[in-house]
Amino acid sequence: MNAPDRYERFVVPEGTKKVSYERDTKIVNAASFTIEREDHTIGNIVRMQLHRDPNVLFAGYKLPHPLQYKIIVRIHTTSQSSPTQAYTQAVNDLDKELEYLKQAFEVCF
Amino acid sequence: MDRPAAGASYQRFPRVKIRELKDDYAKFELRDTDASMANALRRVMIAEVPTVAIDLVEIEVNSSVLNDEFIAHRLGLIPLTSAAAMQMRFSQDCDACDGDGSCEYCSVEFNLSARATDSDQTLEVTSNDLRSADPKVCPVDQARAYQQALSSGDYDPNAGDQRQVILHLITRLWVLLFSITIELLSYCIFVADLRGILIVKLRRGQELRLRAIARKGIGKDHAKWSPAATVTFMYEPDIRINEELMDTLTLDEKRSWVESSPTKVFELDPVTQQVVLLRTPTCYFHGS
Repeated sequence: MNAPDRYERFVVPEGTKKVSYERDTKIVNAASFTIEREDHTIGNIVRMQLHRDPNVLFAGYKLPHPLQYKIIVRIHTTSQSSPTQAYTQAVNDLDKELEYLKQAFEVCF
Repeated sequence: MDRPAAGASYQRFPRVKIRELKDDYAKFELRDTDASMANALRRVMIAEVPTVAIDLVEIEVNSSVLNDEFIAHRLGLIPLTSAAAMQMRFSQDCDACDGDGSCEYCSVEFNLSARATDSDQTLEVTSNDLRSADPKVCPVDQARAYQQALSSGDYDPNAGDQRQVILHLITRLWVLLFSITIELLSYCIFVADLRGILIVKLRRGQELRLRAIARKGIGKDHAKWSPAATVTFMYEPDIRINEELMDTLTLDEKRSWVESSPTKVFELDPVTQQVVLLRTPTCYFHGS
């Protein structure tokens, strides 16, 4: 009765931004990124990539509720970097790594 | 783990090596990357690779023992050849059709018409009775039967029997090597039985006539669109033999030790009379 439609899991509705950003008011160099219509597939990969950055003090993700299809990624960094920079760097590195993996597969197959 | 200077890229360079590759089975190793990458690959293979499946069924006549939605559900689960799925558009994104999601760019039409004649034999309505408007998209066993008819000498009897493509993840902590094999369970298609997937059985006088539209979708939406049957990955264990202790055993004891493992992991080298690891890598847990 209250179950959301299945296509809600991956279709971003009109007007909602895919990624939104919220600075943490109480801690310096800390922020949360809310990614709409994504799940553990993206969240875990981004989190593991953020761990590889030495400037990142804390990186974690969660799904606030299994029926709300979004993830929240929380990042704390040192003063040498900023959460936005760390996040952008992580996503770009993952993009390149997946591109490399795709080419490795294409060579094999 | 190497730590480049801040601001530099922390990209990894994964390597892939295929161990086995068949029509419906693949097993490969993935190295120099993380378990999260392997898991993401697994999740995407199950839920986000697009395929084509019947999504809308218009039933004209149904006097069979199964009701309309039952038959529509079964039709949706029939696997269709989806090589054309990458060129098709999702129905919700399609702007060529007038909103009903059934134009040529985003859908394929199927027709099924079966009537049990006045004989006492039960008519089995199968996926072979589904007639597709586009020959590229048709039920998988129709395509298989067609291919077998074309190349009757070249058919590989093992392709249908393969059940599992295993994704093994191998890790060695000090070198960070990973190996992944993917396991895809094949459909329950018996090699010798080319009758097709059974939809419904009709008795004398019963009829089934319908029109079905197949659309592109992903497994997240409904399991009928999932292309994978099983995808698994595991770390391959790193086995090292304690040579000092092994030397204290007699030859007979070594032989019985080698034979005691349920899957063949070790072998006794006849020349040096040492216990060594089996050279060809097989799965240490179920020997496949």
